[in-house]
Amino acid sequence: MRKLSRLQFLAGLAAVTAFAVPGSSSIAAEKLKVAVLVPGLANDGAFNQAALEGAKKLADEGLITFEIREKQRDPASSEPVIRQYAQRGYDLIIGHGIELSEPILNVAKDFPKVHFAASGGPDLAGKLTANTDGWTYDFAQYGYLSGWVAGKLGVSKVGSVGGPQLPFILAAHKGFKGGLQGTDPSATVIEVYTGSFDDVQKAAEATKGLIAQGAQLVWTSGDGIGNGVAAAAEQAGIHTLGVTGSAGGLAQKVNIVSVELNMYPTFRAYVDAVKDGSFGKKFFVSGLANRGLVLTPINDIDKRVPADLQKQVDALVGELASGAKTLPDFYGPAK
Amino acid sequence: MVRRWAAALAVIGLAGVGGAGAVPSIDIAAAATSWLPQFVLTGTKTEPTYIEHIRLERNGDVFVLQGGAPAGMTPSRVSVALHADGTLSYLNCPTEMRCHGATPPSGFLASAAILAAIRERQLSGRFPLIAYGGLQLVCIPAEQLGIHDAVLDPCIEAQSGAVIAQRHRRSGEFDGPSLDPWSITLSTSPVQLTSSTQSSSM
Repeated sequence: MRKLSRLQFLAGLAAVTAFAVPGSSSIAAEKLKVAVLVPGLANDGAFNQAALEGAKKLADEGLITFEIREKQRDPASSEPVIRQYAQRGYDLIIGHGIELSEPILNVAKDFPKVHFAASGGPDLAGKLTANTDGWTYDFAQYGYLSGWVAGKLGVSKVGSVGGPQLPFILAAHKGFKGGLQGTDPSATVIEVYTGSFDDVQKAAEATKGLIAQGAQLVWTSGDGIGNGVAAAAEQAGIHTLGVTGSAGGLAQKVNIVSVELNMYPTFRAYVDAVKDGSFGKKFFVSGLANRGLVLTPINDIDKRVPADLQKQVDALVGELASGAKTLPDFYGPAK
Repeated sequence: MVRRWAAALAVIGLAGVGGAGAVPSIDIAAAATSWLPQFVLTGTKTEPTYIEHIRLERNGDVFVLQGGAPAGMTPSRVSVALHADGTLSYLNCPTEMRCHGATPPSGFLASAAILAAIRERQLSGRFPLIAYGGLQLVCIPAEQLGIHDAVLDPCIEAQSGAVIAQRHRRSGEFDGPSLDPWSITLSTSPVQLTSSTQSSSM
């Protein structure tokens, strides 16, 4: 897994050296007892389900047994639940979602022999302790992969629709442009932000405007507004990237691919670290190189997608993982 | 509070009375008289990579929407005011948003647009109640709010008038900006809103 920075990696390494995890040798040969807490419903086909699927895969591999607790979005009610799992002898307790970050960190202080994993933004890295690891994902790389795919589709002008200009959305859009330029430097992006995260009509109008300006493909960074993008694209007979859910059945007709979370690599790293005694103070960032961000199944609507696209993605992942390729900083000021 | 619920229940009736397939319905204008003038509604919407926390406030004729970001990150904030003549204006206009002369808001802030349409007598009649988790919703055809080429219809929670879900025109399913029904909380305590001087007429 890619660490947030070299400094944090070294800090984590020092922490592992300084704090041996009691009981790790006896854990090594056994299935870990894992509790996964999610803010919503585990079958949502989105963020919560990514945690369920990550845990299921580990269970299928015989590495863990697990219990999942849903609807844990309120820290006042989730903290006692976390505490209960710690008292019941669970080896690893994962709070999947920023909502669970503070409760996880609070309870972890009282149970130094139990391993805890929290989610959060980059600031979480500085809060991790000898028995807590942390996780976030790279918003910019979420956009980068979409742009990288757009550059493989043979279009000269790509539209980009965002909602409000919040920092993480801006980073995703910078990533998108970086990905597109990385694969097709001759392609241009025309971009619009609607200012709203929930107004589908504004997104539809914005998409129509981009199509009128010559966009041959439209990417959207916003899930809430994706319905508007899909509807306008369908009317104009063009395709999209980034529309999630069914969009009233339109996603199947217009959307080629989206990017989604894959929690397995992070959960696997937690489990391996518990087993080998290296757990604690490590911060994992889901991105492309560690396959924490992956493409959804490709919907090759008009046979425009290169047959070997997934192989090309795998090659990109390999280059990033080996360090042969690096990505620019998408979080800096706009150029 | 009890009176409000009783009044709200009084406007719920059965459309097609006597038919075996009678569908419960609501008189939208009558229901609006019992909607809460002040509330804070919170809920979540699940995105592929995070949970979005949404907060909709009503304080009299001012509606404020916050959301669009994971917990702990700076959210987007938009507010609109409903005037006595039924017109709406944005109290703050986010960067890049077209506020002046725009079509009415079609997301959660359609709560204000629906009330405006009722006050202007452009929206009336009975609408079927639709179950959404343990809640009862009324979905309003977006054209009746002045929205053309609608993709989704906003759906209000019948007791409060707050838009909490959207129904897709094509599939008839709840989609897009719709709160997870189990996550919704409604507080009727008076709210303190941050005033803003910037106003843009729609």
